[in-house]
Parts: sequence; structure tokens; C-alpha cells
Amino acid sequence: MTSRPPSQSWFVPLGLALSLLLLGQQPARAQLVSEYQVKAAYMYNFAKFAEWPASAFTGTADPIRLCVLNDPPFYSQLVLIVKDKTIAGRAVLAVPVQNGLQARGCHMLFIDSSQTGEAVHLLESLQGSTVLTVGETESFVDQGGIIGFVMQSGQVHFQVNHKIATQSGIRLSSRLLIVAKRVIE
Amino acid sequence: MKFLCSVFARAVFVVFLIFIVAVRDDCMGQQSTSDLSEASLEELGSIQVYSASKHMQSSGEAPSSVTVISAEEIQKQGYRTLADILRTVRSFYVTYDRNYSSLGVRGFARPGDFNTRILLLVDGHRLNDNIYDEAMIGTEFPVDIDMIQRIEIVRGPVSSLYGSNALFAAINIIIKRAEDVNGLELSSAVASFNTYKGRISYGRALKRFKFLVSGSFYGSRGQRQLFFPEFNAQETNNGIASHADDDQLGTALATISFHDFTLEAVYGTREKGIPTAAYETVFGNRGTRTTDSHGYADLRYEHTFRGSWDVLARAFCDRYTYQGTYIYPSPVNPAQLDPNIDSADGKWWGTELQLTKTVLNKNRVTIGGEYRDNIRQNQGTHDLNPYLLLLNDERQSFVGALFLQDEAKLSKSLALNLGFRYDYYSSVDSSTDPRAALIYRPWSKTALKAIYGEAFRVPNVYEKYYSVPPNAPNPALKPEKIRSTEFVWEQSLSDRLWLSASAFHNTMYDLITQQPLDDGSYIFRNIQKAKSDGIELEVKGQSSNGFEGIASYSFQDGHDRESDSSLSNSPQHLAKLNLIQQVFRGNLFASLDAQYRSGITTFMGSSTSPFAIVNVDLLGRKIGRHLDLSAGVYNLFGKKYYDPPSTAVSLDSIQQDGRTLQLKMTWAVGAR
Repeated sequence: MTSRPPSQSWFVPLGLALSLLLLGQQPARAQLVSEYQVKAAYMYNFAKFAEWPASAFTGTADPIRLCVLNDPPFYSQLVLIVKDKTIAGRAVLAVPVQNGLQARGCHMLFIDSSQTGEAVHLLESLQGSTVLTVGETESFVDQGGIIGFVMQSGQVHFQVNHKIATQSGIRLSSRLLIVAKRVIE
Repeated sequence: MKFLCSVFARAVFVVFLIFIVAVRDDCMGQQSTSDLSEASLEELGSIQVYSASKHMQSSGEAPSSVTVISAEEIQKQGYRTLADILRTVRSFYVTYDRNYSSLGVRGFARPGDFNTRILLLVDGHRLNDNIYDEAMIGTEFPVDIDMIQRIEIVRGPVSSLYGSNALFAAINIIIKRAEDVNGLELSSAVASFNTYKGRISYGRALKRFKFLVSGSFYGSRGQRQLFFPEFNAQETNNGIASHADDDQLGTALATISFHDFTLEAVYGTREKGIPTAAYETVFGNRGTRTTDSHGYADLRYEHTFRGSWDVLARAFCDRYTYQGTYIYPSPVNPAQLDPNIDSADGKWWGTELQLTKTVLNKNRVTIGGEYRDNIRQNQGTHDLNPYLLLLNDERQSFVGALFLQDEAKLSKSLALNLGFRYDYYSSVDSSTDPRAALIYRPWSKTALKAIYGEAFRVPNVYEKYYSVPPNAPNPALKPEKIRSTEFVWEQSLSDRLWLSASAFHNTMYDLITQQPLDDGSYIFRNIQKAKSDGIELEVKGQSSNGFEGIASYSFQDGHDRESDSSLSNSPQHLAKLNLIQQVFRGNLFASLDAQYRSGITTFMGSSTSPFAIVNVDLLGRKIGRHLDLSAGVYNLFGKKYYDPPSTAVSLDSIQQDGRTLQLKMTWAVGAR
């Protein structure tokens, strides 16, 4: 014998469906503070405090390209952040890329944690380029990445490999280095 | 009852309205993207973020239905045990027989099953023991809940990766790392029924060397008096068991990391008084109790080699012991008592190797192997008055396994995940378990998944060899098997609202079930065939004014093919609600969690009523910089509700705790 559920319990799925309908129509205008949004905002900030060699740009009007490797959700966040932004007279552009080859034209490249496996290989292939690599694993800066996000008590912080940055010809401002949780010299 | 249910339904409505208003308000809200992009580096570092949303997004890539619970949620919701957390998870339900907590998933929980169909892992280390295969989720879970960094729950059969026991879900508990504690933490809690808790933890992260040590104790006198109507007679104290519900636990944890090596040691021991006259013991006698202890050391090595080879190697050894004291009247002199001592001693070691590499740019291939040597699987039972040896069973066995998995990106929007595992057992037939998942992402906000998987569970030594009357042994037991098909739809409705829906069909074969025999004894047999179908729906929302919420509903219909009837121990409807609101944009959080469970038919044929309970918690963080204070009220409305019994207990149903309170303070000092 099964105990029949009381009919009122159908309010639960009904309520779910109803709120979905209502919420589904809401335009996505404002911002929730997700980890990705904070990281995207950091990306823009890093660009403000980094200086690339002249060879990294084709001309004075060439934009600063902030690239995202195979991560559409992060890319869409970054697009919102850099919209209508300029740094030192250059436009800032969010660019989605699929592989290391495409990343060579980037000024900054974000590699998410799901691609950690490929990261080492990618970082090797980017050696000698002027790409400021940004990762989100703890060991990223030890593996040859330049800036690595770390999570601490629900806050996003970052570490910097200053040595690799200098080797790549990228000058990082002291302000950035002061805020960094760890700097590899 | 009907009245209460309608109250609950209305409450759900009201909460949804709040949900909608909160999110809607936010849509019109002030804080915009540009605010965040104007934030300075320092400001960005001080923002509290919700990493859960990211998990939700990345779970779109996962080849299964996944739930992740973070330390943040655990702290804000004021959860006390792993069971507290799991009962809030979509399609999960927990029942408690006042000794062990049992977990049901998707309408499936066998009475007397010690959570053997759930795989419990701590940092990837298997926790199910080698005697009963038990996944311990109540106070008996050997890790302090404050030391959990996150919990990853994968629903559905995952034997293709983990082997035996992963029939309905794999639950991986990830422990905090040294940098999550980073300094000294002292925590203490006081709760109803004379319950006290204390913890001390210290963690340091140096450049290449990190360590974390933590120890805790928990002691509860339990309910002073418990009433069991089944024992309402003069000779059994009118059904009242006094001072027989005590619970005490000690845990210790240490992790040391050096470069890519991590050594982790965990130990937990719990003693529980049993007030339910389990196994026909003398009602109300405080001597009837069990002690479970589990400890392990696990050394793992993780490294990414040149050419993007990811390597994970692990070696471990485990010890599990159980002792039960059961008080019976003495057969020689009924005025005297005859304690029965029931014990189990398990010891095992093992090693695991896993290699992952991306090949041809599109295939992420994992190949691995595992070996586990059960060097001791002993069970013993004896009576003390007069001394009588009833069982002394010593066993050994080993298992070796190979597994292979390929995550292939077929195109930009299509991914195929194939897995396969072969397990060789020295004691029973080997098992081969495949798994396939097709993930289609037509748009960046939508993921559709079709999953097929098989999983198995080998009979444990308790089911095969425990032969103390009225139990009869059955060494001929074979592994049981599940085949499962599932469809998942994950949709991001807006920047702050996600929907996930799934439908599943499970078929179980050769289910190991305890059966009565004509001579009055009980035996485990591979007889039952069962199937269950169901749907799940979950909505998750966040807003920039510090609101987070998850609401889920699941319907499941379990059918026992053998007896052509509905499955026992299986509620048809489950609904859950979890809400957290940050107050005044500060370090104050108010949270609420509520669970509804429809009625359950017990294996005895009786039934429990549907119920809804509500728990609330208020948390103040970083008070005077170092202090976190929280107050929780559990079962806020004092709802009287009952859980179905396990096979150990001859009761129709077991009443659960009414309203209880907990006050907790945590003092943390260190480089935060």
C-alpha cells in the first residue's frame, strides 16, 4: 500500500513553474557578484597596471586585446566589463580564442581551471611572446604563468610571477605587485 | 496533517514570491557592471564572491547531474552534520534510527542497508569500510564538518570511475587546505540536549610546504526521555527510555603538503547509546551501544609533467573497527543480564594511479588502475553471561581494477564522454561497467545531456558470512547491478538564475535484500528486481544584494518487480528550499532551509506521514575582526515527524527531534 501524497504538494512544482515563468522574462541588466565577474574586473585592472613593449602593438590605434580561452561564460562577463573602456588611449577588447596559435595576437590570455592540463603545454608555446597569461590554479604561476588567481575565504586574490613577466617584456606596476598575495621574483 | 501540508504549500508560495521580488528588485537595481570595472585592485580583493555560480556553469560541462556545496553555505546554513547537509540536496533524503543515519537517493533506500549503495569519498579516498560497506554520514562521519571546503555530489551510477558501491551517487568531501585556515581557529558550540562541541585547528602555508592539523570533540547527552508507544507497558517503563540517547565523537585530522606530495591522516571515533531496543535487546537499558572508529593515512602525488601529462598516484591504508554491546536477559537466570558483544575489525591498504592527457587536441583521456587489499575482514560475536562464542569469522580478499575514460569534444557544441571500468574481485565475479554521456550545448546558456551508466556492488562480508542467529549466512551471493538512463537539461535563464531539470530511469538486478526464512531466520539473497523512474527540477538564483536561493522538487516512483508493489522506504515527493540573505551588505547572514518529504511505506508495512521542517540560522562574521557567531534553530516549528525504522529496530516508526537550538562561536586569528 502506498501512501498517497496530499494534493496540496502539487503547489510545489506549480510554484517552481510559476516563478520560472516570471523570472524568465526578466532582462539581465544588473550584476551579481560572481567569482567570474570579479575575475573579469581584475583582468581589466591588470591591463591598467601593465605596460607592453611597443612590439606588442601594430600601431598607436591598436586595441588591447584581452583574450579568453574556450570559456564562453567568462568571455561574456569580460565583454560587459571592458565595454567602452580605454587605457592610455587604446580601446580594450575582449576576444574569444580557441587555441595557443590564436592567442599569439593577445595581450592578455585567461585560461580557466578546467584547462589546467593544457595550460603547461600552452605556456611553453607562449614563451617568448608578449602575452600576459592569467590562470586560476594555485600552481599556475609556478608553471610559468604570469598571474594566477587564488581563492581565500571566499575572496579572489592573485599571485604574480614577476620573473616571467619581465622576460616577456611586460612591465608590471609596483601597485599591482604590492596587492599581489605572492610575487615570484 | 492536511492542514500542515497546505501551510507548507503556502509557505513555499510566499518564499517564492520573496525569491521573485528579491531577484526582480535586483534587476532594477543600482549596482551595474560598470561599478565593478571601476573597482580598484584592493576593492576587488575584498569582495565576497559566490563561487557556486561558477560551479553551476562548469557543471554544464560535467557528464552527469552534479551538486556542489561550499564551506560558505555550510557555515551560513548552520549545518551540524554531513547528514544535515545531504538532506537539503535535491532528491536526497535522510532517515535516522537514533543510531545511524541512512541516505536515500532518488527514491531508493533499502531498510538495513548501511548506505552501501552510496560511495563516500574524502579527497578522493574511499570511506566505505570493508565489512559493511557503510558510508557513515551522521555524527559517525570521521571529519569535523567545519573542516570541509566543499562537497561534490555526482548523481547516478559512477562505477565506471570508482568501482563498487557507486550505484546511486558518489559524494566527494574535499577537506580544507592549510591556506583556507591560515592561522589558528578555535570553535565551540552549545546545543540542546546538553550538547557541547569544541574544535581547534591550525594551518600554515609556506612556499612549498603546507600543513594543517585539527582536532575536535562532540558530546551529547541526548534526549532525556524518549517515548516509544510500541513498548508502552508496565514492564518496559511505559515505553520511556531514559538517558539512553547519548552520542560522543572525537575526530583528528592532519594534512601535510610538500611540493606535489600530500599526506593526509584522518581519524574519527563515535560512541552512541541506542534507545530503541535494537535487535530485541532489553528496552531502556543504557548499556546497549555501538562504537565505530575509522582512521586512515593517504599519501598522494599530483603533478603535471611536460607535454601536459597529469599524474595522480595514491597509496593508503585504512583501519575500521566496530564494537556493539547489546544487553539481553540472561538465558540461565532471567534476573540477570547477558551482554552480547558484536564486533568487526577491518584493515586494508591500496594504491591507485591515474594518468590524464589531452590527445589530438580534442580528447581528454584518463587511464587508471586501482588495487585494494583487504588484509583483515573479521567479524566476531560472543555472549558474556554465560560466555558463549557465537561467531569468529576471519576473511581476506583483494580487488584490482582498470579504468579508461575519454572526454571527446566532437564539435564546438557537442561533447562525448565514454568511460569503462573492469573490476576483478578475488571473492566474487568480476564486473565490467560502462558509462556514456553525450553533452550538447546548442547555445552558451544551455546544456543538454543524455547519460547511460551501469554500476555494481559486491556483497560484503557481513551479508555473506554473518551467521549469528537469527541471521543465516549466504556465501553464494553475487554482485548486484544497476542500469540507469538519464536526461539532463541545464539552462542559464539570466545572469543570476539557473534551471536544471532531469528525468531518470533506473533498473536494479540481483538486488541484495534480507529475506525471512520459514524457520524464522533471515538471509541475504539476490532476489529483488526493482525499477524507479523520476524527475527532478531545481532553480537557483542569486542577486547582488546578497541573496542566494535554491529550490528543488523531485518526484520518484519506485517499483518492486518481485512483489509487484511500490518500493518500501521510498517517498514519492521531495521538495527543498535553501535561502541565504546577506543583511545590510555586511557580515551578517540570515538563512533558512526547509525540506518536505511525502509519506513513506516502511518495510514493515506501516507508514510515516508527510512532513515539512524548517531550520533557520543567523551568522555574524568577523565580529571584532576575529569572531564568527551563529545561532541556529532546527525544526523551528517543532514539527512532530517520524522516520521509517531500519531492520535493526522493531518499531513502526521512529520519532525525530523537535525544536532544537545551537549556538556556535569560532575565533580565527591569522593572516586572513
